[in-house]
Formats: sequence, C-alpha cells, structure tokens
Amino acid sequence: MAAINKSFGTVAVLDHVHLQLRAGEVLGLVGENGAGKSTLIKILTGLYTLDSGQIELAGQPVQIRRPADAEALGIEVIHQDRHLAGRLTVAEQLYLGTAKSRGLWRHERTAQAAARADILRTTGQELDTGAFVDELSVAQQQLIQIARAVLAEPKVLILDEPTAPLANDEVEQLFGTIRHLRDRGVGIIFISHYLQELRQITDRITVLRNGRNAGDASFADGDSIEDVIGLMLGNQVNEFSHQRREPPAVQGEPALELVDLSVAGTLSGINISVAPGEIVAVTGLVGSGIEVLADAATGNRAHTGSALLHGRPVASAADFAARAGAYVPSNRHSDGIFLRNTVRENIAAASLRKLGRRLGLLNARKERDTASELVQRLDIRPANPEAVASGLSGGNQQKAVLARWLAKGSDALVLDQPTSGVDVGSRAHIYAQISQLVQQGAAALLVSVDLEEVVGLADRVLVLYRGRIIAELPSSEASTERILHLASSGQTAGTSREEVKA
Amino acid sequence: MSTIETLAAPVEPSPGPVAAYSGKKRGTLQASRLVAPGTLALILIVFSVLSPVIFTVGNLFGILGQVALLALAAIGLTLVVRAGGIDLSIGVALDLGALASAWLIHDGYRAWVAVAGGLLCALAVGAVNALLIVILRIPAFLATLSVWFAGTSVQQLLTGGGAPIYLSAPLVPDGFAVIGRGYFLGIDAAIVNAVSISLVVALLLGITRYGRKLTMAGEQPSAARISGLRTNALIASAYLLCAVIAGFAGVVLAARSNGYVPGSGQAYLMDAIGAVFIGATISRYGRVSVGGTLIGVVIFGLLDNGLNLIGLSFFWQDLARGLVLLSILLAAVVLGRAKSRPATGIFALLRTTKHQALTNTAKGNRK
Repeated sequence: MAAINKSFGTVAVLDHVHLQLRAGEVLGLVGENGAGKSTLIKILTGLYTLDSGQIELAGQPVQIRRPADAEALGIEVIHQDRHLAGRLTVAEQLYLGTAKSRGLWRHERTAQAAARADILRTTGQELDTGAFVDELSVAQQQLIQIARAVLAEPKVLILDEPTAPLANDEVEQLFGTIRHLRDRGVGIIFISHYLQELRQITDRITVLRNGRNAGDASFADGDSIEDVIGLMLGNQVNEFSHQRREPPAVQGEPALELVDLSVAGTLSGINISVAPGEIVAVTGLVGSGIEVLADAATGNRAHTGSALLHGRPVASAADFAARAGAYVPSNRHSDGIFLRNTVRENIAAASLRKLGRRLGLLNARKERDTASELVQRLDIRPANPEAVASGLSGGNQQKAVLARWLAKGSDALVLDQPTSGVDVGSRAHIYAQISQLVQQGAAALLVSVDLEEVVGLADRVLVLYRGRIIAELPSSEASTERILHLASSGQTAGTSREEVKA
Repeated sequence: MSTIETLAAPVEPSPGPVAAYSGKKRGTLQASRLVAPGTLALILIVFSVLSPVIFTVGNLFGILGQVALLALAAIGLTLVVRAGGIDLSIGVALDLGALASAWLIHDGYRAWVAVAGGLLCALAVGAVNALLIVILRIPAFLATLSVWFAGTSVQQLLTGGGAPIYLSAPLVPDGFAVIGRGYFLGIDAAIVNAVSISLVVALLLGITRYGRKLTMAGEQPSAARISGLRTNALIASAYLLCAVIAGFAGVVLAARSNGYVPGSGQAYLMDAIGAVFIGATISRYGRVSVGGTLIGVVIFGLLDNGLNLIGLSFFWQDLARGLVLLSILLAAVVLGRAKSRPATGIFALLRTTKHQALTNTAKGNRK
C-alpha cells in the first residue's frame, strides 16, 4: 500500500500512509486508538474505499472496492469484534458460507467431527463443535474466527487485536498457528496493543501516529519496547510510571470481602478480602473461572457463599452500586457503555440523584459540569460531553465507564479486564485514575488476564486455577513468569510457598 | 499527574476544546429522520389540494378529536416500547377501563368512583403483564398476547356474551360526561385529555430521572443493572403506566360514546403500534418518543379524514394506511442504511460532513 489517503469530511484520517508486507513475514501494526490502524485495515478489506493512493498485491495494482474483492484476492481478516451468529452450532458457524454448508442434506455429526478436526489442526484447541456459539466463552469464539480465516487459505491474513480475550497458553497456540502460516508464505499483519506479544511474533513493526507513518521498528534488529512506545506516542513514557504507590499503611476493615464464594461449575470456595487503599488482583487462565468472578462479586450472577461490601452482604447489582460499589464489566458493549447515549448521560447514569434536581427532575447543567470535568481529567476524546458513546473508540468508552463511577464517588472498585482492547494512552489514564482513587482510600479488586497489568498495578496478586485460588503473592514477589507458571501448572511449588488464605 | 500531560501532548488535533460545545448538537440531522414529518406535510398538501375543506379549523379539530383516543393508547405504548418491550394488551386495558366505568355509572355510582374503577381495572391488566414479563420472564410479545386473548374472553364473560352497555344520557353524571364530551376553552375534552397526558409523558421521558433510567433499562438492561438501576421495577412500571393510560382512554371512550361496546378497544392496538414505530423514525437511533408517536397518530388521522372528504370508501383506508406505513419505514431504512457506509451520490448531498466522520468512527465499534 503506498501513499494512502483517506478523509472523512474535513478530517484526514490517513495521510500518505505506506505499508509494505512481504510474503512469509509477520508485520506488526501498532499505534494508539485513533491512529488509523483500523481505517487502514478497512480499506485493505474493502469496507472503506480509499480517496487516493494505490494498493499492490504481488506487484500488480489492485482495486478493492467491496469486501468480496478482498476475499477474492485472498485477504482474510479477523476483526476485533467477533462477528458470529449466536444460535448456530460451532460447526455451522465454522463452515457458514463455504461449500461445506451447501446442499440440501448434511450429516450433522460428520460436519461436527470435521469441524473438530479442522479447529484442532488450525488452532491446536479442542472445541465442542455441537455447542451453540452463544454458549462458548469469548476466547473460544475467537478460536472459531481464527480457524475460519485459516481454513480460507489466505494469501494475506490480518489479525486485529486477536489476543485480547485469550489467555497466555491460548496466545501461544495462536502464535504457533501464525508461525505455521508464515512458513507457508502467508503475509500476516498483526495488530495488537500488547507489545510483549509483538516482540515474540513479529518480524517488523510499522507504527502509525495520527494517521501518518511514525516509523518502522524491528525487535530482531535490537529495538526495544520503549522505542516502539516512543514512536507511538512521540516520546518515551512508561505505562506504569505514575504508579509507585506506598503500600497501605493501616490495614483497616476490608471494604470488599468474598467469603466462601462459589459459582456452580466454575468457582469454588473463593475467599478474598480487599482493604481500603489496596489493589488486589486476581488472575488466571481463561477457563479458570476468572470470567465469572467479577459478576459474582457484584451481585450480577447467582452464587453461594457471600460477597460483603463494607461488611454487609451484596443483595443485588443495584444494592452494590447504591453502596458506593463500582463495577467496570468486561463486556463493554453490552454491559458497560450505553451506546446510544451521550458521554454526559453515560457518566451521569449511576449518580442521577446526586446530579439531579428535586422532584426527580434531571439537571443537565450539573451533569454537563461533572461530565466536562471528568472528560478532561480522563482525556476522553472527542472532548465533548455531548458526543454519542457509539462514536468513541474502545479506550474512550472504557474511560467513560470508569468516569461514571468517579462521578458517583465509589470507594470499592471491581474491575473486570479494564483495559482489554484499550490503547496504550487510554490505559495509562485508566491506571492513573485507579491508582489515584486507591491512594485516596478506595479499595480495588482487579480481575485481569493481562499479566503485565496485574504485576504493574496490584499490591497483592491472587492466582486462580480451576476455580480455586491457589496462591497469593505480594507485589514484591509477583512477576509475570511466576504468575504464569502458577496459573498454567497449578503448582504452588517454589521458593516461598504461599498457602491459601482461609 | 505529569504522565497524563505527556501522554496527552503528542496527539494535538483533539476536536475542539471543551468550551467549544454550546447549545445542543442538533447539526447532525440525517435525512431518514425527516421522513415522518415530511410524510405528514405531504399528506396535508395533497389533501388540501384535493379537498378545500380539510384546512378549515373545524375539520382539523374534528380530526384531532377522532384521533385523541388513539393518541392516548399510542402514548401508553410508547412508554412500554421505550422500556424495551411491547404491549399487545392495550386494547384489553382500554376495554376493561371502558367496561368498568360504564358499568359503575350504569349502576348509579358517582363519577369519580367510575373513573377510579376504570383505571383500577386497567391497572390490573398492567399488573398481570408486569408479573408475567418481569417476574416470570416470559417474552413481552407472548405474555401480552396471552393477556390479550384472556382479556377478550373476560370481557365477553362479564357482559354475558358481549352485550353492549348503553347509558341513557340524562342519567350520566355531568362529572363523567365532561371527560369525553365536554369542552374546555372551546376545545373538545378528548383533545384536552390527550394533549395533557402527552405532555406529562413527554416531560416524564424528557426531563425526569425516571425517563432517563427507563430508556437505559430498555435499551441496555445489563448495563443499566450494573449501573445500579433497578431495571425490574422500571420495566414493570412502564407496563403499569401504559395500562393506566390505556384504561384512561377507555374511560374517555365510555364517556364520549355513552356506553360500552365489547371489543371496541382492540381496534386501537394495530394503529397504535403503527404510530409508535412511525414515530421512531424521527430519532437517530430509532428511539420512540412522544412527539414522534403523535406525528404517527396525526398521519393516520389525516389519512382517514382526507380519504373520507375526497369521497373514497372506507374500504380504502386500511390500504392507504398500510402503504403509508410501509413507505415511511422503507424510506427511513433506505436513508438510514446510507449512514452505515461512506455516503455516495445523493446521500452525500443529504448529509453533513461532520456526520459522516461521526458515523464512520462509530462503525468500527458496532458489532
């Protein structure tokens, strides 16, 4: 792709962007949200048409006007959002639109067996191919997409944030698949916010900043992660540099306490207590029960045992929120942000009474003042409280969800994958706000599969393995390698063996 | 927080400082939102050319009087649809409201007893709906469909197989008659009732916390629950309010027609659904609103009236309604679809550049 220009109205989203991908290489594409990565990919896949510039495939100029053009040229993409039909079985979804789904009569079991073999071959994972797509975890749904794209035998494969919902061992499997494809001469564009992963998998990296080429980097040629971040942001920053809080001096009454919490089939006997001024992280592989922990702790999922907020059991989700509990859910689109409402309305959603007038009336001015202040504090873009939330990037939507609880003044936070699919800049803002709140005496329970985040942020790290907490590490002993070892092996053997806190 | 500043610094062209927004952002108007008001204007123009009578004040008020009951039923339905549901039993609530009040008047009770009785009967319908939908988790469509069937039978059982109740005019207390047949400042009482209820509901949805919460609970129930809203109570309240408003329409109907004819409320259901969804096209997100619903109601009213005035048989009315409804929805879909991809040709002319940029970024986040 050479000298690609794309404008939406007067806003130039891409300005003479060049991208070169050789056959048989993995190219990393990075940049902050809004840098133009997604737009570039959409042009390449025919969702948008380019204003000027040229796309060449194997030396031949090509025209890509529709998604079908891209498919015909062998360009396959795995989008960040999963485009799947929920009420199909895995096998049906996998072969949707391909020759295997045609014909009047299909033998379900044969198709399912074939699908199981195909998924195993392409991703190395076992899936119940007779299950409905709805019933799968986010990570498993991602596997279907990957398998689907690989089965199409593409010449160019584009993966947009493919690892966001995946746990570490699943990421390894994916990387294995990617390397395998690369060796067969497929050109792969890999978009990710996780620079560690890019270091593992990519041969080269192209960095975009504000719709322009900011430069190329290559980990193989000795560039460091800081160099890439520097290119992305224009200067050198460390995500966690704000965060060297003193550990909490006085251990007060726990603000949030889980006592013998169990969810049928996924979690059993979870005991966690979070004191004010403390960030406790829970991590584990996808499938370890990590997905339902936050929901159960905040009264959004039926459970046995109890979740206590300020010493009293959480009766319902509304009760949790009413007593200054904040919950940032992992599924932003359905549970977090109100897509059709403005940023102001999103921020005010949990504190309507506080920001209202008497007699149950709304007070738009008060809402707007609060929203404007938070929009600036969290650097939500566009910096306009009246912008509609669906028009915001993922990172900015997540900031708005967090701002909702800041507006309410919550002092017990439950954060479920708070930065999944969020760009580096927004992450830093979210981390800074969490740290600041905790500094001011809030308690935070961070549920995350992002090990860098867990290690960088938490005062204590709890590791979940098959529905049980198997280890507790103070931040001084927590390292990504150690946690990964615990989470994947379930072995607590090591220099300092930590017992489960009763 | 020097980190924030350094991070914010490199990305300079943030769209405008915070102070830049003033007033409301209504500049991003898309063509599909003008379809319903445009149709209304078109119908007015066409009929005023075909018939000179239509634009007389008397006739216009006549139309409003005729659609006042439909407006009430549709306003109630608007609340339910805003809360993410549907209510097929508004006809039942309306009929039971009319039946109870007519019966009570017939038996010689005071006017307020009759009104309260009518509203209570309707409330019972709403309570059954709320119970089925919120507590027993039956999908709204099926729950209210069963209530509709059951309610129709209840009416026939109560009236001995569907015998109408007729009230002789001299025996009806003035306090009751005035609800349907009175005049307030020379305006038909039914219009006054419909307008005031519309106003109350519009304010309820527009400027109260309740309205905001109801909308959020209706559109994204799980996000609303996590934000601490009591979604069950909110959704139940919408069904109760809807039934009470429909019941009030029934009371007005009884007062207006001096009696009760079984099943007369059923006729309003389909029109109300049509009007509500015509109204939804004026919102950017297909969100139903009181204003939109009223536009839909008036479109139906004008259509009936105009067809009558130009001398077409009422056989044609449903055909005309169907065609208008279809063309409004079709036009809204065609114009609305254009927003999901970069505008070309005529659509580009119809839309502002700002809006294109907005929807293009929005698209990336849509599933």
